[in-house]
Amino acid sequence: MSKLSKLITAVILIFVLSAVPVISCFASANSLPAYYSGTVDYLIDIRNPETIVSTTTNRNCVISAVAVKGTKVTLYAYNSATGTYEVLKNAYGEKLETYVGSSGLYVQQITLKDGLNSIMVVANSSSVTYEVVKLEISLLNKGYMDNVNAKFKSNGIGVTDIFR
Amino acid sequence: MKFERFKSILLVLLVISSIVLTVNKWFNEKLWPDGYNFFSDVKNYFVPDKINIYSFDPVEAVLRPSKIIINNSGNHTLYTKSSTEYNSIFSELKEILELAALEKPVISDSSEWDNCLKGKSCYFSYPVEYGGNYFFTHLSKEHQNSVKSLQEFVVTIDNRVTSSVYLYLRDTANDNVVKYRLSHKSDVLNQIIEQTAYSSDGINYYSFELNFDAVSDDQKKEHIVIDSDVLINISPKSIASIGEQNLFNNIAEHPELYSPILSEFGYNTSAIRRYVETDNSAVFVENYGTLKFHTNGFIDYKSVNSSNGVALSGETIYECINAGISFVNRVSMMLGFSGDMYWEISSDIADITSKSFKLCFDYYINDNMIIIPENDYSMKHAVEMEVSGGKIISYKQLCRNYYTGDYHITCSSAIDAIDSLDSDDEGVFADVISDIFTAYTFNTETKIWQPMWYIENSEGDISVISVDYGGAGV
Repeated sequence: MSKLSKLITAVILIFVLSAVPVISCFASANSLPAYYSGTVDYLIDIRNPETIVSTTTNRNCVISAVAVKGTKVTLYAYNSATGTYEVLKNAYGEKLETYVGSSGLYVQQITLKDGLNSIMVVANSSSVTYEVVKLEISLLNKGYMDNVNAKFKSNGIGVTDIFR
Repeated sequence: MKFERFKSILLVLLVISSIVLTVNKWFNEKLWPDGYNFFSDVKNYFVPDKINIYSFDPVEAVLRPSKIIINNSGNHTLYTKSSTEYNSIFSELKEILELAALEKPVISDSSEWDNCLKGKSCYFSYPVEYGGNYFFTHLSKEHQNSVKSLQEFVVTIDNRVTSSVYLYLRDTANDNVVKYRLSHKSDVLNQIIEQTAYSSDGINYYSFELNFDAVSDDQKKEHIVIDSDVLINISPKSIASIGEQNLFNNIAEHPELYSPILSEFGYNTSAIRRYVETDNSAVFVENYGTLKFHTNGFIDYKSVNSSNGVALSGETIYECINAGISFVNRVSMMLGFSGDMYWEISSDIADITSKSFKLCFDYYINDNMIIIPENDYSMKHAVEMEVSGGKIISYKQLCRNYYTGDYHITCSSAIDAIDSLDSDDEGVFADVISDIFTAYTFNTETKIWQPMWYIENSEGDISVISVDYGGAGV
């Protein structure tokens, strides 16, 4: 193979690789596009929240799952200003990415903001084998809850009865 | 004739001298072997066993739960006996239990129990199973109990009806959940729940909330299953180090320490046989038993047979059990443990049907159990008491003081601890996990006490996980 054809092959490879949003096994991307989707559907099974769309009154939300051992799970939150999902970080600025151990159990607590929280869970076992689950979690604030509670109480129903 | 007379006089003198010397030996204590009293044997023959009457009321000790968890719509705050809020919460719970003792429950189910834990409620549990009658007898002599054995409760409130609270309890004999509706103002309990919601650290979740109690249908996602009521700590936690002190160094030279304990065992300290072994352990012998104070820090009492021993007061079986608990409390008070330490019962009191039973107790500090090095003391628990016919016939107690150290150790989260288990292990890994807890364990290599994770499965197999390097051992 001539030097020129090698150079052309290398340039094409670089273009191809940059066009595809690659998730490396060893480092998660800082942001991902809103249309991002997975290539498989067997890596992770979200256990909590139990449904894709959910409502809570608790600012501390725990995401739990069972997953294939060795899978890396990373959490992203949707940023409406940029239109992308951005990786979530803990208080020390570290990405919320965890490798699932031999127990097959995954659990991570996140802090919700008021209103709608669009969370994307990305589970990947290699750069081409990854599963994406998008969650919509709404946090109802206390003032709103008090209003609802007051209205329902007049009908003899407590708001805690609704969310049980 | 003169010679015969001389012989008689000599004989009389010899007889008189032998009588004088014998009397002298009997009555002059200085000539007795150490601790020996000739008359104690004679006296013990005529005087019946001493029965100790205890002023300590074990009601509180029995009723005080080992953990209280306040649940408020997903927030869970764990309180243990060392928590400052514990006493005020317990006094409210005790009032509710007293009301329940006089009521008949109705049948409920596990889903209602789980719903209570998800909403506003207060869960509390005991370290061992109690017989239903034994437990409720402490609350009222005229109790209406219909539960065979119990260990855990949930109290919940209804926002619509502030004049009632609901108490749920799980009958451990058949796993049924029963429910009491009680006329009791819920405002105090509501206030406790609301206040603790603010201080919730959000690191404890029940297994059922995380849905870790359900098996996955997908073979590829093979995972551990955890019993629904197990509280899982999802973040690393910091636990204080502890140190220990042997209370029996040179015990033979400290009568101020062993004398009160001897009296508790019914020994007459002024009339007792004592000898010191080569390792400086002090051994006290009476007619029906031997009490040994080991220099490495434990007491070992054994009666000569099952019909003799230290008599416990109490007409009924329950009173006898309570007297046994009081006995342990009294001896522990005499040892002068540090204020950080306390004891909990470790053996179930569900199946005791006679005055012959075995009670075990363990020490706790900073809300973590102290695991006794079995090989060093030939005992699994800090206190092991065997009672036969209402008399203590065997008693062993570790007499070492444990105190909080000046540094902290960070423990991994419960999930990380489970991940440290060997997945090929057929023991714990192959079954449903029924409990996960940290306990202080003596590291024989480093010679220090350190917290370790203990993971127990439903078959009773336990794996120990070191928090330092994540290695698993049994």
